[in-house]
Amino acid sequence: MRKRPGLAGLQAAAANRDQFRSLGEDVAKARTDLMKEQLSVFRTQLEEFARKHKNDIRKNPAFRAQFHAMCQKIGVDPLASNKGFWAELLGIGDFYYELGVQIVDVCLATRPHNGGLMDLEELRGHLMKRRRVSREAITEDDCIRAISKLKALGSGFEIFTVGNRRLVRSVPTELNKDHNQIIEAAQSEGYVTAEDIVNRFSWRRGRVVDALETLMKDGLVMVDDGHPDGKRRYWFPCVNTMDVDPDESAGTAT
Amino acid sequence: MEQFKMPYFYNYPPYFTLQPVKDTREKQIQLWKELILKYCKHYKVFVINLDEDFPLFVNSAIERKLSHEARELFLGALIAEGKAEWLDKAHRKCLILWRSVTDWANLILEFVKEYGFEEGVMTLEEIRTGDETRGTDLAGIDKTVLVRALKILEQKGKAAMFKGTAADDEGVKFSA
Amino acid sequence: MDKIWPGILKPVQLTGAGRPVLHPSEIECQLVDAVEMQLEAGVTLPPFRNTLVILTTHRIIYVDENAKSAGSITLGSVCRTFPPKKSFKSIFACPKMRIQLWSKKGSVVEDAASASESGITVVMIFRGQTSPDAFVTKLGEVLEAKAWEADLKNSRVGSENSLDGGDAKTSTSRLGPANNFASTPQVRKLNPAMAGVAGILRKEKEQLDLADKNLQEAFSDLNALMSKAKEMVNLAERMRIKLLAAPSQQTSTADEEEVGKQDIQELLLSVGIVSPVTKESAGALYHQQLARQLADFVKIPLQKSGGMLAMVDAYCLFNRARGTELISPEDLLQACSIWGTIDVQVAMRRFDSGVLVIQSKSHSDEEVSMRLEILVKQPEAMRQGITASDAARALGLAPALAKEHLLAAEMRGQLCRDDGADGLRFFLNILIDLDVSTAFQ
Repeated sequence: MRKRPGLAGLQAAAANRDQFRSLGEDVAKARTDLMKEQLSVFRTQLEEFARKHKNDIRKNPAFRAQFHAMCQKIGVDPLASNKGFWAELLGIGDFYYELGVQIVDVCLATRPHNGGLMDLEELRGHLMKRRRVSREAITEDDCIRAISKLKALGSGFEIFTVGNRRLVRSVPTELNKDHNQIIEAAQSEGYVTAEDIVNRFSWRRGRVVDALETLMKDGLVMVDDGHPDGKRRYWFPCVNTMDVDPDESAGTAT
Repeated sequence: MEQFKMPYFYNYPPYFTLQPVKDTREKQIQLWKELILKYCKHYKVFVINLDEDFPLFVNSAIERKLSHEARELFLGALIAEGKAEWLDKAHRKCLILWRSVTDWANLILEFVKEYGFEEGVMTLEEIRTGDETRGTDLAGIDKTVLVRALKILEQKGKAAMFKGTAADDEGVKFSA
Repeated sequence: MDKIWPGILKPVQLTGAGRPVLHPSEIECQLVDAVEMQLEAGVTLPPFRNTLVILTTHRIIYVDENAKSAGSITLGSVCRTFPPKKSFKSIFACPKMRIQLWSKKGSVVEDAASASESGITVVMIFRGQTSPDAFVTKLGEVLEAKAWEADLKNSRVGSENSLDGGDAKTSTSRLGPANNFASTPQVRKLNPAMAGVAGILRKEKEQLDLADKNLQEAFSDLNALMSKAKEMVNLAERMRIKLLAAPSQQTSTADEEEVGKQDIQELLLSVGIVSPVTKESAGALYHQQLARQLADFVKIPLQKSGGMLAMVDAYCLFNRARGTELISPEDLLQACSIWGTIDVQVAMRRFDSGVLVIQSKSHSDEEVSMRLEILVKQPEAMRQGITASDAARALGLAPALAKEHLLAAEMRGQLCRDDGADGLRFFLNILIDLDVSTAFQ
């Protein structure tokens, strides 16, 4: 450029830039929206096929590999068998095995957050999300049956009841009666303080601290020292209905 | 009184937790039995009351103390060996026999001979807190233990207990 | 198989657990064991007895499990096959199958075009219990499908594609309209001076519409999807790349249909087993082959988790990698129990607590015990003990599994516990070695 641009030229260039930028943004947004829509169609179709044509897909190893590749690339869970009559009646078929694998999957993924202890209802929510296409609801009973099929893999994966909740344990943690009672006490607020437990069960303080420390060591409890009353709060991710979704959990915590 | 010197493992935290593994627990029980006897002997403690805190069972330096289960287990082990006895039905008070009743009886006999009480008369209270026994092992002896030791001497014909005027005024006549 | 027949069989690499290493898109189709291989008159090379034969979409692989060697015939070099004769006489003899190969100057060549003769014939004698029928049928199918040819073509297309940067115009002709799915390079070509917003959007829309149509066609029925499978895999791949490249939108609602970036990343974490061992392909060899495949598979998860993996976790990871070919917990355990009888570097273990784990053989109790000993003898640990988390850090294990090791060491009398207000801690077991008669001096 030989000639220096004048003020007017600069302004025009700036205006152009703005215009281009907003144009670019519009296009990008439109493209993203369309792509998302298409991706969603793709996913829905794949899930549908996984469910309907599973046996045919399995019969053809070469196609099966390609089908898996599609599922994996766009994040579709190929495990989506319908419960069906026989599964319902006799617990046979792939449904419960598939559900079992998905259950372990969810537990593995959420373990850093909840220490391997998870509310059955929350687990069910995660599973429903994964199987978004098959409209068949997954019941708690389904989860219980699926987990019972995992028993052969050694102790450590089981469902137990604390108060009016059922919790799924995916790591071999030894919880004694004290721990269970504390978890039960935490259900109303999502947390307890040592004082709460001392008052509620008339335990010695040492016993309470002992149990809480054990829970903390196992990663089942998170400590909150930030409350104005200065009392340490022990939060239990496993009884908090908070989702792993950050937006929702922020809402629950208040 | 000189302070009791705790063995070094007294500051080892696991010493205060009941060990779940059999071999380790058996060794732990042995070590506690021995420590209880030695400690009680040093401070002339005859009775451990489980309803009260007993200093030996609490180690504030490492913030550990024995659980009730452990206390009862260790005392139970001493009882099984005849080195302790429950004093009450509720099993709250435990008599620690860091010296056997027979040994106590012999000790009394030695004292009697040494101090020339062969034909003498003493009240039980004199034996426990009197000037005569001051500085000897007999000073501060538990009354239950004393009565039982004297009974042994009675059986051997070397002593005879008698009641005084007041209920707590009992005496003994030696005939060594 | 001490010496692979030179010029006839190609050497094949075996995994640590003794399974052949397959090409990226090669799929295992059928297995048959106890096969003897001979060469027909003219060539004098010693026969191979008792080999395991694995038919894939690309090769026939012969594995000698004892000698831990393997060789293969590329399916492209197969000229003719002569299936076993079905006659009254053959009932009493072992079935034989002859495979004639393209060759040139006495060496097998990979395709008919470069061959000058078909002078080499391999004879397979099926000496096992299993009928060779499934093998013969499957061989016919894979020869028909010619997967190796498609692979060659694709690799050519793939390399050109990467050269021209995936330009829509050129690739359309080759890969079909699926490739019209808007690709990144076009964004840079947009010239706002030449096209209005509406124009650009219209163009984008057209391309997306094409992809839409293609999707619809592909998913109209299973056969359509099978024939368009490759394109759909490519489409999926492009979508994935774009989605991962797109900035994550914080504002987006947590809509059920929303495609989460996280979903995709999570599923990608699983290591895919392209060719899972199945009951159908392996028949009676199922558990044994499964054991080998599992041994190969757990190697990486084991490395990541410090040499030990909870059985439940292994079950999930393995099945995830197998896609739709799920195995049951019982099959998994059976496969693990076979490990004791074959030469692999992993083992199953049951702790006293009932916890089942897979551990690598290098992760021995002696080594763990040694490392724990060092850990608990540190001055700090002698005063305060160690927790499961401390042990987990030192052993590179999950705390729950580290705790199993601590409990096992406690059982051995190596450690003792402190269950005070600080929670469960483990110490060197000095108590066990104390002598009551001297300890108080």
